[in-house]
Amino acid sequence: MVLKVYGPHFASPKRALVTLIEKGVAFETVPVDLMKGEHKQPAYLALQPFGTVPAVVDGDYKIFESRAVMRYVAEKYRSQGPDLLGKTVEERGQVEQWLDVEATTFHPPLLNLTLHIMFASVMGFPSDEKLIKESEEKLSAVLDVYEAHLSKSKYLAGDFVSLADLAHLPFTDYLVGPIGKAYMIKDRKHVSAWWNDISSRPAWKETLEKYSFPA
Amino acid sequence: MVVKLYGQVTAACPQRVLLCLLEKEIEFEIVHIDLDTLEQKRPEHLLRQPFGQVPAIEDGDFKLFESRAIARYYATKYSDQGTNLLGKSLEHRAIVDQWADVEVGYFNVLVHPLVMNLVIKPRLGEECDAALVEELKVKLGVVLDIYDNQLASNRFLAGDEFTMADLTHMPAMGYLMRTDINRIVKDRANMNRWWEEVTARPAWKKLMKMAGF
Repeated sequence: MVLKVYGPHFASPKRALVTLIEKGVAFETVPVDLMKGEHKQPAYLALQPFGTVPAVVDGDYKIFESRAVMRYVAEKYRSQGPDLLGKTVEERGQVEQWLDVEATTFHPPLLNLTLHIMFASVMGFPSDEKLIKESEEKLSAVLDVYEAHLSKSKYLAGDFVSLADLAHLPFTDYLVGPIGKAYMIKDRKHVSAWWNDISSRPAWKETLEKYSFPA
Repeated sequence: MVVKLYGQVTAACPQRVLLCLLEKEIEFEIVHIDLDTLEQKRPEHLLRQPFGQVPAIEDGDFKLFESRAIARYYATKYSDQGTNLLGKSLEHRAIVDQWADVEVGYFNVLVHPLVMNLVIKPRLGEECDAALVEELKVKLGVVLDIYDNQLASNRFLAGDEFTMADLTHMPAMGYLMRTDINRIVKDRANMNRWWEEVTARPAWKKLMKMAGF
């Protein structure tokens, strides 16, 4: 039985998808119609009780939370594809550190920008200009730290690409595209070089090609 | 060599690491970083933690920040010592990671601003945003219903045993339970049962004593 990823057209599931593709793991996807409220139906809530995407089903085994799925796939298929967890316990520690920075520090202001710029009208709430401005300022301060770090380190966790880098792909793709703030990346020399590198990886190109939100 | 933890023993994120070190019976030394005087924003600390937060650790030449990453590192490195916090198999570990990640995106995102408004702001003489508190309480209630349901058929968040998934919630929960909105947990039978059990653990009691609570 092949591993299934629910909700491939949305951003968070793409963290799981890009990891699966990097590791050369076979999988299927199951669309979830968020517009029709499919994620709030009992059948979906049985897979993901918070009603968000992704959910992953691997035979009898169910798991949710995109970064937990990334870790599961990277560990289970450690011997194939790039080693996205580092080679030592210490390198893994660095991967976990930057994966957590993404979750706790990078993602929250970027999520605000995503919701209020891309999805407010579609989801039916007023776009909060004050929150957009504050979120851009917060994200900018975070990117300044990234700029300093990436001037000394090729990738976030060291000289190897890891889950920490990949976790940034889906929402940063929104930032430089539909959110309309590519300058936040492009105006920072080392962040820009890092972004060009990770976003041109074949696995990410394939993810976007196959699972971009239908126009 | 003893692990050096830079932080304040009363703050939630350093407590997450301390609780892990206590459960794993790992020796440590706390180097106090005074949050009240914004020591975490000064150049010396920014070299350890470029986002100006606590905790950070130094273990010989090895340095790390982000409390959850630090806890995972020690739980992995010392997997054969103390409490096993990472599950018995790859599949179990991923469920532990799943609920630990839920703590970041669903729990802390609500509890942090609640504690800021109910505990920290009053202490600093700032005004509490009462409307925000009401809004957060409603959202937290919805999230805790899901937790309560999980704990109806599981002794701990990730199954039969205490793991990182439970541990990572405890510091912020400790703060929440000391506010006057703690009924939000106490009124949910399974959550209450779980909280009583996890806080009876010796490592937690030791941590609370160290923090002067």
